[in-house]
Amino acid sequence: MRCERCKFENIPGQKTCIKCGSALEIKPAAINVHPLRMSKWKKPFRNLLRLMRKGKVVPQENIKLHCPPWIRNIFSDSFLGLFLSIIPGFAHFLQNRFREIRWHLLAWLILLLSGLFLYGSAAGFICLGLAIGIHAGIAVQYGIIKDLANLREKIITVVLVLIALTFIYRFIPRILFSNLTGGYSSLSVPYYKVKAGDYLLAWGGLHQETLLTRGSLVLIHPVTLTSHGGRVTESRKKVIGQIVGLAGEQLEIQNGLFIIDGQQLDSDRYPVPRWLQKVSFSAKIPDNSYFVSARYNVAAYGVKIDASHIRQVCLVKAGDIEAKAFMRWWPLSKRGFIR
Amino acid sequence: MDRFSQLEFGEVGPERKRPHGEPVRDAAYFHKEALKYWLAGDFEPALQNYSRVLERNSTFFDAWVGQVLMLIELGEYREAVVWADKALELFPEHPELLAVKALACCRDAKMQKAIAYSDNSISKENITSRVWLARAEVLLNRKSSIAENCISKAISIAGNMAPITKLEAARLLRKKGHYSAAIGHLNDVIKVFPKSALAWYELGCCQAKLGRSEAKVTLEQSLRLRPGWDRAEAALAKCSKRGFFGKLFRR
Repeated sequence: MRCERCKFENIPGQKTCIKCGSALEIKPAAINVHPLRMSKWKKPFRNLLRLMRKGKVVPQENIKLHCPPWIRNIFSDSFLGLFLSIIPGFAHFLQNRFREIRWHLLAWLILLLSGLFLYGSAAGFICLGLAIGIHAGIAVQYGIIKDLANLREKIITVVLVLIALTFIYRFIPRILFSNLTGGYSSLSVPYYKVKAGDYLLAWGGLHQETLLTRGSLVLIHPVTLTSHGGRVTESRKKVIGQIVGLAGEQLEIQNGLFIIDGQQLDSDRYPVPRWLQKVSFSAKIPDNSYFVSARYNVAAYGVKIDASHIRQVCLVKAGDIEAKAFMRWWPLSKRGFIR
Repeated sequence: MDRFSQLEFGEVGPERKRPHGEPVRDAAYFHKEALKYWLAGDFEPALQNYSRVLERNSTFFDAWVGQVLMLIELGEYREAVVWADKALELFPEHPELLAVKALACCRDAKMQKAIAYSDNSISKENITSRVWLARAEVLLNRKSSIAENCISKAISIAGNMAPITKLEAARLLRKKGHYSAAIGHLNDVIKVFPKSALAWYELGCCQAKLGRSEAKVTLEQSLRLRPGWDRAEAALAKCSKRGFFGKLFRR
């Protein structure tokens, strides 16, 4: 047994050199011969630290912080990978592991696009749900699922990731496209080819005082009246209604028709919702307000609808109008701009 | 058998009869492959080949050093230090491992550690050329005039390894801005390794820095040997785009 290092002839069977202590024979399986590698995302941080060390901004030695294990776990590679996977596949891409998830990513992309295309329908929501599921799968596959020992921890982690991603999917579009929103139409307007239950896309951030005209379909959070044991309570729900009366106008409802300043409006263009058809109403619309017609949920059993209720729910201040509908998104057959 | 005896150095040297059939994929084969990739400046596959060498023979010392060096070349200094420590468990107090550890610390701008490791490596017996080269790099960072002596010493004791040592010395000199000295060594290296893309690249960079017109041809040769090499392409693009003032001030 000749030592590679000092060329000393050792006794056969010796594991280390008697002269210099070098290893003479190691079973290949006994030792890991593949070095640890640096994650790509660490490179810029390390470069920065190196520059700072060169400029003597930071000390030569690494600062060793004594932090509790759970903080170390949070900043472990798996957790950071999970965090970077907010963009699906990004962590894998940085680690040259993109091949592992390429088909998942393709499926995610197809489902996401399908979900957006069918948004507003049940199929659209199913597609989006599946996309979130695949996204969660990609995120946990990066490393965290392997780090966890038992099934219970794995299930809890997956569920938490799913919840977090659902929140992200819910709120990120609001940040990225803050003005784009949508809602279900509460009434049918034959003139605009809109039926109750259709999903309409709406655009906020407009100068509503100038652009909102009679007939515009708008997104509002109206007061909803509901009855609980004879007691009428108020709540708010997002719906799309139609502007019928403008500020300063005298609006009347008679025989199931809207009358503005004595002139009757076309019922095809300005339909009166069913709950208002049997009532007579007359009011002057206050400044900076609109009369918005919608199928409000007036389910106060035993309570007779009077003018005060109508004023309470139908007179909407300009500031309370969130957005103006511009496109019919669902059903697919009617998809198009509202003109 | 020294570590470079099986390398194919172009047309230089007598032609050996090639064995027929598939080569035996043993440790020596992968070591040769690793060196081939290193000479091409392709450090990632070189590292992989060093790992393969160790899969077959974990006591292959040059492969351990090679792995650490490749990690350094890839800019993974902390990992290089960790790996050098691991190798030091198998080869305790080996000056070459201490030297490469010093090199990793030096490149990572941890100068105090680098000097300490270099001092330790130089105090051992059987010092190799790599130890002197690492010493030279550490000293060059401190702008010490002894660094050049270290390089000379490294080349003088290199023996059969002289071309490799010269190439490493030239790379070091280029990095520190000693282009003329680097060119001298690189010309010698290219005579031995005419197919080394790394040597041609280094030579081209030095020539470009000195404003020599042949830099373009040299870098093109490097690209011919290793097509699509981004570093050579970038250097060539930079060399081609040099304007009047660039040529005037050799920048």
